[in-house]
Amino acid sequence: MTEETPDPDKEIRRLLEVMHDPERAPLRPPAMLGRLAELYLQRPGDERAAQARKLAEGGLAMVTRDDPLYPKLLHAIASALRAMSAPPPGSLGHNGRAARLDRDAWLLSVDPNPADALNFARRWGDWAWSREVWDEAAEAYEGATIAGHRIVLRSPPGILNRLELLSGQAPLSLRSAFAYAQQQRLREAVTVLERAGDLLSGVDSQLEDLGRLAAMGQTGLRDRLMAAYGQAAEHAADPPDAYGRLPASRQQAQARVDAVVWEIRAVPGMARFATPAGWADVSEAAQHQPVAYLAATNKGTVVLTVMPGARTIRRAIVSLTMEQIWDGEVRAFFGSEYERSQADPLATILAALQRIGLVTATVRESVGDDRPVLLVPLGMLAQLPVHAGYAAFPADGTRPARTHFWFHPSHVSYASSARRWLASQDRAGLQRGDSALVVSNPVPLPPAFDELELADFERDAVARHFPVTALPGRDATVDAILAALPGAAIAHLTCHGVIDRRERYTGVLIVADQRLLTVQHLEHLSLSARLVFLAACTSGMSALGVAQLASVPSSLIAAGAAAVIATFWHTDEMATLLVVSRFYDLWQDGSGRTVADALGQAQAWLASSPAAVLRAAVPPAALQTTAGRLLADCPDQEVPFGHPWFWTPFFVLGA
Amino acid sequence: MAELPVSYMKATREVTGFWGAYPLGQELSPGAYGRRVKGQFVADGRLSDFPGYDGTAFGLTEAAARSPAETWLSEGTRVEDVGVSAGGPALPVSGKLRVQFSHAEQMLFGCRNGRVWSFQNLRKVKDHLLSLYKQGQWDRRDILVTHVMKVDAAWVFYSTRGGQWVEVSVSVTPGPAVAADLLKAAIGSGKLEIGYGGLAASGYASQLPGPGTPLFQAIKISRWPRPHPGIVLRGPGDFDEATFGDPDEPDEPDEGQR
Repeated sequence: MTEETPDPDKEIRRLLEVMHDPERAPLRPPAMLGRLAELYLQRPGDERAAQARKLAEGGLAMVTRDDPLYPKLLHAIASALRAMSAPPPGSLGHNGRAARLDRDAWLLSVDPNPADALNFARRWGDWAWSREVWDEAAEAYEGATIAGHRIVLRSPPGILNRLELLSGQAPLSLRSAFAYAQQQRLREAVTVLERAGDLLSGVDSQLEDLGRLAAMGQTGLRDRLMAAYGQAAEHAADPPDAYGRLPASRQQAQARVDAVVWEIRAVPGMARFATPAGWADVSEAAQHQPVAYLAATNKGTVVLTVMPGARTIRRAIVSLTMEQIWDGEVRAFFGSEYERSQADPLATILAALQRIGLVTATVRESVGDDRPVLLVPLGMLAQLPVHAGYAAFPADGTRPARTHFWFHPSHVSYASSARRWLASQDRAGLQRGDSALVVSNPVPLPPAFDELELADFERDAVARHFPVTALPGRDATVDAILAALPGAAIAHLTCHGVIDRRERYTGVLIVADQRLLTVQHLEHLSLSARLVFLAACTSGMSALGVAQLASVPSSLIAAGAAAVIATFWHTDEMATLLVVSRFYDLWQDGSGRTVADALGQAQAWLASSPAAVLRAAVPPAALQTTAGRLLADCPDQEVPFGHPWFWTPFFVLGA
Repeated sequence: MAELPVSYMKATREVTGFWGAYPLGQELSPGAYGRRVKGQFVADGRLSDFPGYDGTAFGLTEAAARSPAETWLSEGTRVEDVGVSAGGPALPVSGKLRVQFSHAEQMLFGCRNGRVWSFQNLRKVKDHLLSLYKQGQWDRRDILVTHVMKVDAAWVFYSTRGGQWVEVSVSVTPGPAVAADLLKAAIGSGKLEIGYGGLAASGYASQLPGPGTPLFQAIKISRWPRPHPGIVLRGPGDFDEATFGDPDEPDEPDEGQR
């Protein structure tokens, strides 16, 4: 059954009748005037817009600034001004005035009613964005992000909750940053991206912070906050009253959450609890290495690199738009790897990495040379292996055709925000990986999947360096893994991975009894792992749609892991065994290497080593398996895993 | 009692990991091959009908039952006591239970002595299928049954709308106190009846009173087999799981139609 769209003219006539019959009036006169204005605006035309403006101004004259109707009427006037014939591009005119009114409406709403504020700011920003009035767009979209943050902070922690709340809002902060960057207001641009990156993953760290709070003996505060969140959630759907005011139940619930949050912030060491990330976090992270923020919008991609010391921010704007990235890189990825197109995945990946190289080259140029850099990609770029972008140079008279990767694999690591990376680094300093949990070849599997033949060799590679507690085969159930993870210093998972369309295309892991281990399973865990290695296909793939930040690795970081190694696409069994084996050897060689350095060196070794060298690095029995055949049959001096498909999918999130 | 809708096959897959046979009494075994027709599996023959079949390499194995009785419930499905006699230690308990569903497409599946029956080495079977496919003897639309659950008896309760329910009468000696355990005990060793003597239902129920094969798993060659046979993935390879239970889902076109 299709729902009939109400006829605005019919409702206008009804409201005008009601207005002249005070006995029947369901709304206060200013509310009715505002509603009439909205209805007039639903049909085009200067005359209707002028009528709407007159009605809304009439309503505005009847209310004071502290009335909840005030911002709504301001917004109605702004909408009416915009609906009038457009002034020449660049001129503020009606639209400039409308922007001012919407900004006032946003300011008046952001605290009592952030959902309204978000809507006002978005409308204000959309107008400025379309006309490329960058100062207005930057401010408006940042305002929308702030309102979104308020909404998120007042709701119970949890990834799924965040996904729902932030749905559709993801591009706003990216646009704000792009607009700030256009004006050379680079610190503001970086701060907006930092806040956006922290919004999903960082807010979920509230759970971890609450765990810390309990460990300090403040269980009462934790319980009170969770109770306040629960009450707020219960009342979240209570409708506003006829005057547009939030119901008392919602106001009280919000106030209770705010009050407990303030109490928690007063506890020593908890000052940042439920606060948005900001420049201080960026500045601190950039003391260690350059931090590059990447954001794609429908007007282009901005790369902002905060150089060490945080005194310089380098800006680059690439003409690659979000749509081009979707049509080119992302679709190619999904086409060959996840949806299974006819295209050869090896060729497709190669083409995609070359296109991604446009962005990678920009980062490299900003950084100045090939040295360690922390990437904070947002939006669609978070789904792409930016670390592996390359350029292909054709043969010229003197040199043969060659491929140039913009970064050595050991020089790139990822974070969802500077604040999350700092938290990872703190944990890395505190946690000593002195034993390992190995989840190995879970069975039974769905019939299309085969048991992993090299899982035992991989477990042995880990066991060369750590005492191992194994969860093999049938023991590797969802429940057993979730029970063991919190106590693990190192967790290594050797299993199958797939993209799950029901989980917004996040990567998920297949564990025993054909069950899936997903983002949702991880959101209430509290971990203390130095490293979680997800040695499975597509284990690092993030959700489509909402800032692309929800993924199994980011959930593990939010739960308390210091670093996670995961994969962007499919992995070959033998190539994975070799990377894993080499990685642990290098990481534990006593030289104090970082996780990123050890992984990158292992990848470089795999990419460049001839078959004879690689064969010597694995037990002979591994070469007798189906998965070992490619390496076993390769001539001694050939490089069997030199194609980027084999060695570039691995990446590090965290420190 | 009305016939189970085909969609029950999907719901069964959700809770047990296996597709429900349709009809419940369909005789299945690993090595049976066929096609999907209107959402159901229709067998055409056996893998042994094809050339190159190696009875030793493709041998079957039957695992021991994990427990005398197993039940799987969708989330939101409850078993309620609606008239069970009070027993006691070592005394028989009998009476009426109600399986209550909160939403559509929920189910309870129970079986006695469920044993998984499968190929000893599925990898070898898959290699054989790929080889037959390359020789043009295997059609990509063909589906091969790989795993079957053999049971001594089985029961299915299923909903097509929220709020539906099914009543069953049970009799167990000695009887556990909790309704869900009582149902499981009745499946395992006692007596369980549906559709008799004053029992009523708004949902669906079906039973396999004797030995049978009510659950199965099956594969088919992926639409786009990987072009590099040397690569062994930690993810989906050259095969997909065959899917059932949606009568409106179009069956795949012939190779030439794409």
